[in-house]
Amino acid sequence: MDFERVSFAFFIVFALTINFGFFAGDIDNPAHHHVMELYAAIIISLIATIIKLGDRTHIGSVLLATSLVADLHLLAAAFIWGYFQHVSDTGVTPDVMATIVSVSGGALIANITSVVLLVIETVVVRR
Amino acid sequence: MNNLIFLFLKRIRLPLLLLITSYAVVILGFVLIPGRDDQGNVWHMSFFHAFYFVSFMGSTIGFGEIPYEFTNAQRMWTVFSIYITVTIWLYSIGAVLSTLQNPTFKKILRENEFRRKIRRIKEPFYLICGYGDTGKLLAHELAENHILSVVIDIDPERIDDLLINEPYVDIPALAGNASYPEVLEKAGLTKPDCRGVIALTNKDHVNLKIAIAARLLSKKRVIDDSDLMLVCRAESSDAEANMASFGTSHIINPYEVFARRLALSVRSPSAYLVYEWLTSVHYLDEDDNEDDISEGEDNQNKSDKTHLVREEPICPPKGLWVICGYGRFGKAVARHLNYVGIQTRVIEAMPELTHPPEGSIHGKGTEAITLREANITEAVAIVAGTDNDANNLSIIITAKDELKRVWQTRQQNRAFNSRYHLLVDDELQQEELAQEQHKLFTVARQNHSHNKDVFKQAELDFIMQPASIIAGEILSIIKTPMLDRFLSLARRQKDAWANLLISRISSFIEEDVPNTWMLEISEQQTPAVAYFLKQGTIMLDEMLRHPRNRDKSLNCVVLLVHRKISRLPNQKNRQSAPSKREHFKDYLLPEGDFEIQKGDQLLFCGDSESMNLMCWTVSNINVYNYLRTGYELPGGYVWQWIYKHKLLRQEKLYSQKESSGTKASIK
Repeated sequence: MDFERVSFAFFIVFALTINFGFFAGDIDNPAHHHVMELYAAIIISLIATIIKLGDRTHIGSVLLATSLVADLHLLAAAFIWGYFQHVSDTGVTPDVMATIVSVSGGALIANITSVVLLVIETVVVRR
Repeated sequence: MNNLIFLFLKRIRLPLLLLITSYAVVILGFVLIPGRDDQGNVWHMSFFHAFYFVSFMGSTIGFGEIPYEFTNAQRMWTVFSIYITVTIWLYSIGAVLSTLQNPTFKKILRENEFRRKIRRIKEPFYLICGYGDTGKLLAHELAENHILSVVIDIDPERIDDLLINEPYVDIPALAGNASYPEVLEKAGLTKPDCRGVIALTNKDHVNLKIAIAARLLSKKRVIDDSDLMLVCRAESSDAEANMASFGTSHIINPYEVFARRLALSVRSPSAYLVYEWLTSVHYLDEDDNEDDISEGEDNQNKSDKTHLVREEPICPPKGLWVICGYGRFGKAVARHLNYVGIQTRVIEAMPELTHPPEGSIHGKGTEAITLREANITEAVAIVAGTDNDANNLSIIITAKDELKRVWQTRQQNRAFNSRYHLLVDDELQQEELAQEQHKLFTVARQNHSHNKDVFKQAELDFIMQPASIIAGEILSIIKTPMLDRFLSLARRQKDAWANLLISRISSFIEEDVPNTWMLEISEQQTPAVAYFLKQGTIMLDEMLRHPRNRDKSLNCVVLLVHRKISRLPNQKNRQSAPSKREHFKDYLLPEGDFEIQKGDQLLFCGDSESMNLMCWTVSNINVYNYLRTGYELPGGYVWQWIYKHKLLRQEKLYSQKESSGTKASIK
């Protein structure tokens, strides 16, 4: 057992699960999507990205790419939320919430790809 | 390039992780801790506000507590956060800086830069392996001649040295072991622009490995002067034979080269002078240049200029030569001197290792007693050839002192004898002889170039500097490949022949080293000559006329004409056996009425002005026509049309003159 492998897999899977936690629920119901969950998703996703840095294998670079995609989606979602909450007069309406959740859905897909790749790599290595 | 990014990312992974974690904790803290708004209601900071506050808190503390004044709980958390984030920021910045300063990182950065430089090279270049004394001299000379070189050396300090020595030229340099093929490949060995590999390291086996790698990595190319030149320095005959066995184009053994030159100078001083003139390195120290400027008007000083070239031929005496040190150098010198009939006596410190010939003296040669044992008073010359510069100088000085002492005692004896009328005629003659012999011919081996000044002061007749010898040889091979051929032919000539050549060259060379250059009679190199060759024969004299006044001739001589003999008659034979070997014929110092043919290669020697003028005449049809006929050809179409009749008449006249001339000569 290798601590590096454990933390690597942990953060990748954690990023997916927490992202799913935010995504799950009615798409336009603000009560189903808590801001804390989005915050946690962003932090975990960023940490997962950093952990993937510096891996020179081919699969490593694809993993890094998926992680960067997830980061972009989640940050975009956070930006939309912040903009409508504080800058725009409309506030977070069900329409806005639908946009935020669908954007985070993109991150969810990226995170799923990441986990699939991780599983493939694990199966291939067989150690 | 990829290496660099990955290394950098790997190094900054931990600082980035810490930064994100600390920000996450701090922002979360601000969101969770309840605050109060201006009405006193409980108010929770949103993530947006928390991120805003934390962002400026870490760097510029002092924007104030926004949007509402903080509660004490929030302030307590702020204090904690400030220390956490500021510390982690400092650590991260430090980590990034130390990564950039890391030697490994710097090395990769440098290698990347080197690789980029190599990739951008679009001109022919030479790969120099080993930047010691020789490599330094060679790289400098090549740069002076506008030839690009790429340098590899195992010692990074020497590569730094290169930047200091050659500040005006950008010579790509790599610190690496040249015996690894991948290093050679990195330095552009496999590029088609690589014209030659020059292995100059001081280890024979490394040079050997370089030669093998060069041969195997560029299989498609011919190891030859015209395609990929392979030059190796070798110090032992084993390595020399090994290198020669797989087609190294030039193997330079500094000891052999020097010994051969020394023997040549004994046999024929004039031939040696020619040799030295033509192969010398135009290397002047900066201090010497300054001297020349300040004392330029003084002719006396001009002749003292520290050229590596002598004005007068040196005349090494024939007689007994004492050789101190019977290593590779001593052996080579002894063998070549014996070959030209000079008697030698060897002084060797470790005879059990070097096996000197019988009758040799055991000792260092630095003590007077050893020299006395070798009968230094009888000897005409001494060669200090150990591998220690201090010892070599000591040998020379001791030998000179010893002679002086002997001479002084003899003087005293003579004074004593004459006072008491004890003088016998025989003795007088002998003593006078001894007096003449007081002048000892001194030859010393200089191992390191930084000892140059001491050796210069020692007033030696002949200094053997391996660096300048090797650099000179290689430079002449690169610049004028024909010179090598000429010199090997010239070595076999008699002294009288060399005297003739010297008188010809010295008639127009005043103080500078003569230039040598090469021309091939072809459409590309000499369009004008090729044009007129189609119309008739061309004498060598014609090419040597001055383009401003055809009655004068240029300050140069033709040293050699190298002609390919094509075997056209038996073409069938040629097709059946497509051997690459062609037949050559060399004409040494051809006379003025020599007829030039297409494809001839001509080697010239003269001053630099003549070289430039010659380049002009052979490529400009109008100028060449003036040389040939004495008339100038009009340039434009209109004038050519007007002058057509005149030209026709002129050509007729010329041909008539020529035919009458040949008739006269037949009669």
